[in-house]
Amino acid sequence: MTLAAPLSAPEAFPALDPALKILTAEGCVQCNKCTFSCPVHRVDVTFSPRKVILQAYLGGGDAVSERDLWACLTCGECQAVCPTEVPYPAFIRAKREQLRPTMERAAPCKHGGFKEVVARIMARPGLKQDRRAWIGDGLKVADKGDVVYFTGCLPYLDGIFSYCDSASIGRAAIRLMNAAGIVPVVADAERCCGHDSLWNGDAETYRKLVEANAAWIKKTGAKRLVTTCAECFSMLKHEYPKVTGDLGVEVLHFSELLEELVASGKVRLTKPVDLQVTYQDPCRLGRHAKEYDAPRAVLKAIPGVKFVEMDRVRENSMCCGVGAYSTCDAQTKFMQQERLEEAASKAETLVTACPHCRIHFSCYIDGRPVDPLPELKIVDLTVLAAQALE
Amino acid sequence: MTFDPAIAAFCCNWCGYSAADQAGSAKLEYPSGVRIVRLMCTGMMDPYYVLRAFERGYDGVLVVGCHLGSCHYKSGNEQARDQMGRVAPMLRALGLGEARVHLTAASAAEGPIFAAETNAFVERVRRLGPNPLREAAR
Repeated sequence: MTLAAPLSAPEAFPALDPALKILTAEGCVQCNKCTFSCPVHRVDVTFSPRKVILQAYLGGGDAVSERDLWACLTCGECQAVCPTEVPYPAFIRAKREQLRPTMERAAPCKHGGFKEVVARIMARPGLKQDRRAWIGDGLKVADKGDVVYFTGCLPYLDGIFSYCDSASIGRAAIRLMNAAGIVPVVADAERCCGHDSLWNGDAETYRKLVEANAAWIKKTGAKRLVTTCAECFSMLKHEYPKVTGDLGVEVLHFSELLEELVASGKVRLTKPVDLQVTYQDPCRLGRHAKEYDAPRAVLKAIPGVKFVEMDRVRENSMCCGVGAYSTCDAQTKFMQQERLEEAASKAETLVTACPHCRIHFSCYIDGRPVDPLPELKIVDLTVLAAQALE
Repeated sequence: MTFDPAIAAFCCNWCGYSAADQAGSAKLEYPSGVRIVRLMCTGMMDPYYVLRAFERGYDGVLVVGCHLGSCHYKSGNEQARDQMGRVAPMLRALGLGEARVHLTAASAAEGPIFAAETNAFVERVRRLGPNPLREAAR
């Protein structure tokens, strides 16, 4: 195999893999930067995005192996360092969509497929959910209002990930909004955002979920939509408009709203939280949605918090090791060990702005770390900010 | 027309399934809508099986294992109990409710208990009505 990949336009190769059309626009120059930035390559040297692209060019559609297809975390590190900005995650997404029907095992989900089956059930148009039981007393939510709080899969996570109390993130968000005089809309009509369906190649379910969500969001008449989840945020802000056009709402990650509320004095974070913290950039919030500053501004606004950056941050941030629940194996554990060691060398608390990063890291700490880890707590940004409320 | 619930009954090889077998040899009756799936141990009950059964349109899911302390694999039935605890909040959120799932135990000699438990569960599901997900798909 030579290194010289054919870089002609796809029209010159009528039989060329359609997923490659995403790539040819920019054109891979085979420089291999992607490989050396790839978190999977760090733990498994046989995995190389450059090689996958070359194989796809030379061998047509079938040349990408199932293992290469599902080993990718779609974290976007390769695209961030690529001199021609080849959208490798988008290529993998198209490829998964293409190959999914031919796969022997339908569910690549590493939790036995429960997230996929829940997403498929939620795609049913007439579904009547009862998904607000976690809110509890003392918190105000409404059916109509200016701000929608999109909870994402928080109500579904706690059954399986019982070590993580994910619903506490939602309660903290509502508490902070209530403190600023906002009574958010939390709807039973809400569905899964479709993140995992889209990234795992289930386009049909994704389309149904997007349509169902767009319909209820429009019905609320809200002006803004806020979510505490980095995945929901990147979907609603950047992917939904491609399917439904304008949603009619301004989509915000909770850190963006909180930054604004703190700056305008509507939320006063006054109670000191004496912690040394560091921050994990979630790939969906950072590289996918380009929001790096708001979470840091919130951390700096919490009194008593001493914020220390890790070495690999922002565009170069390391992934938590799992993308869309489709990759989790021995190699993942080495990635998590490396990242958590880095975090533990800077602070005693690792803050993240994505409930899924929190689950994956907590799972690792809760289970059997590859090597002994120093004491480290994984805390969601929203929960930490709510601790600073009087 | 009376509603005849379709029930997916996951039975372990050593107790639940043998109890069902015994109920059959003793000519004890239980409704024909109960479809038995044999597992080696209820310890392999995954939240996925429960959700998938409801997705496929079953009206209830019954899990029959060994009595606590007498699992053929020592603790499989305890794992089953934990797994059913994990799936319960999801069923509630999906609007299915927890009452459509039942975990019970019947030893290999307890055919009558298997028949009685099955009859009682089918009656409970009949009162709850059909699986709402079937309607939701339209």
